[in-house]
Amino acid sequence: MGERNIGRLGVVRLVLRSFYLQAAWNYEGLQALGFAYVMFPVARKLAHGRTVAAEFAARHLNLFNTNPVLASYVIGATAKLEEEYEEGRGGAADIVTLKNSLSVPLAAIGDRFFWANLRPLSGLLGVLVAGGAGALGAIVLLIVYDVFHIYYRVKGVFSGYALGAGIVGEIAKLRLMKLSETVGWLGAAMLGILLVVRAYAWKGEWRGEALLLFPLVAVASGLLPEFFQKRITEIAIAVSVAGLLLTAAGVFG
Amino acid sequence: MLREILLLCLAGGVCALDATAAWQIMLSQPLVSGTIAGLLLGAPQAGVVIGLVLQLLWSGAIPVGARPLPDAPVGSVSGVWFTVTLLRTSGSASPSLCYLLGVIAALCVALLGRRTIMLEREISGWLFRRLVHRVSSGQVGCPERTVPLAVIFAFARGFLLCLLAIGVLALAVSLLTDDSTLSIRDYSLTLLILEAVGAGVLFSVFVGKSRGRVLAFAGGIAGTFLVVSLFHQ
Repeated sequence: MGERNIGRLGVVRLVLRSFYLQAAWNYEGLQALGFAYVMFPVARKLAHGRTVAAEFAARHLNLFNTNPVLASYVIGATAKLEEEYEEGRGGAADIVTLKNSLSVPLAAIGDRFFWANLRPLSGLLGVLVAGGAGALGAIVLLIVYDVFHIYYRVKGVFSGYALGAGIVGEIAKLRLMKLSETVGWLGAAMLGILLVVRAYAWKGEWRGEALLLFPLVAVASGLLPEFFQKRITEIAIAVSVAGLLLTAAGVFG
Repeated sequence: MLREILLLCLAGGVCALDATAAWQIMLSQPLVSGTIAGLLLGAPQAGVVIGLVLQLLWSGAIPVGARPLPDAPVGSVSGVWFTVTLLRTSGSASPSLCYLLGVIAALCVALLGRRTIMLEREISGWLFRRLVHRVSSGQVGCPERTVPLAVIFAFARGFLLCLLAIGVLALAVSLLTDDSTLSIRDYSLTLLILEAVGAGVLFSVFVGKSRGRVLAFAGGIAGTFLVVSLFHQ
């Protein structure tokens, strides 16, 4: 009988594979196929024999969906539970239950922090810097986002693997909800700064039309109902074409 | 020229991969993919200008749920190519017109890209069903081969869409390179309004109807106005 744990290198492999969790995202299993892929080295190490391996694959091809960054906690904890199952502690149902019970709260916390707050903030900071320092803006965007992104990817897998089912308590201690709130406040203040800086940068001096138009259009379009917000690409095309035609006609600009 | 286009399509494919299929380190954000495209074309400023406007417009596009988002990375890369090509070929056209047309091109390509993302998801669904079928019929089944295949599909989608977009936009370049008086007008106000619409997206994300955050927002405006005014004097 071989060694019944995946070892430190195995955990590092889980971290690297977690970057491909959404590789085969589909409407039926959502992230299930990606999750099975991430867990495959664990199966190779632990699930000996054809039937055991098939059971392992079936267990991880169940519907699964959560925030891709915080999914790392589920990945680490599931690997630990798989080890315990192979050692005869715990059951297969416990593994599935843990996956399902963690995915919803992690999606709520992670989506709010990473998608709804950190990503827009890193974009905003990137734009602010890009306005003055060009290509450096893209680097700022990457650094601001990825410091948190990569930290939680790595920490999640290692903590999950160390704690197993005990990861539930660790997740309860995550301060990301509070941090989301802070990022939101920071974003509001930075947006105010951006509006003035971009209005000034338009012609390199205070111009009445920019000073009035820029904040007014921003606030007005920011207060549009959600339906319009979802159609921002179509709205932007309409605004661009209208602006193009009006300028060409000499009415605008 | 061909080498440039090939490099751009490779960049488009890699950035499209980053959007969902792999890494998600934000190479797919318009400011990043636009800047990369600009650097590859030897015109970083054009990449930054296009990327900046698109970044603001799509900053509220949150990849939650099944609804596919506009293909921002491929849109940005092809929009930058269009802008740079217009700047190079149309001697008398104002840069602001080239930028505006680049943004419009990027937005249209991104919308087209959304359709192809749905197709990519259908292919992933087919791969998933095939694997589940194999596992349920007692075979081990191997996500080890399936997922790299899905990654290749995702890259190929971005690459080919970029190539297609550049091909179509190349036809448009030849139509737009006349020396009419319309092309020398200043279109920068429209670009400013587009930026403002994008800033509106951020307003709904960060400020919304929260009174406290309205104060933070107003404070940001007032403070910056004072500082810039002092420097201006």
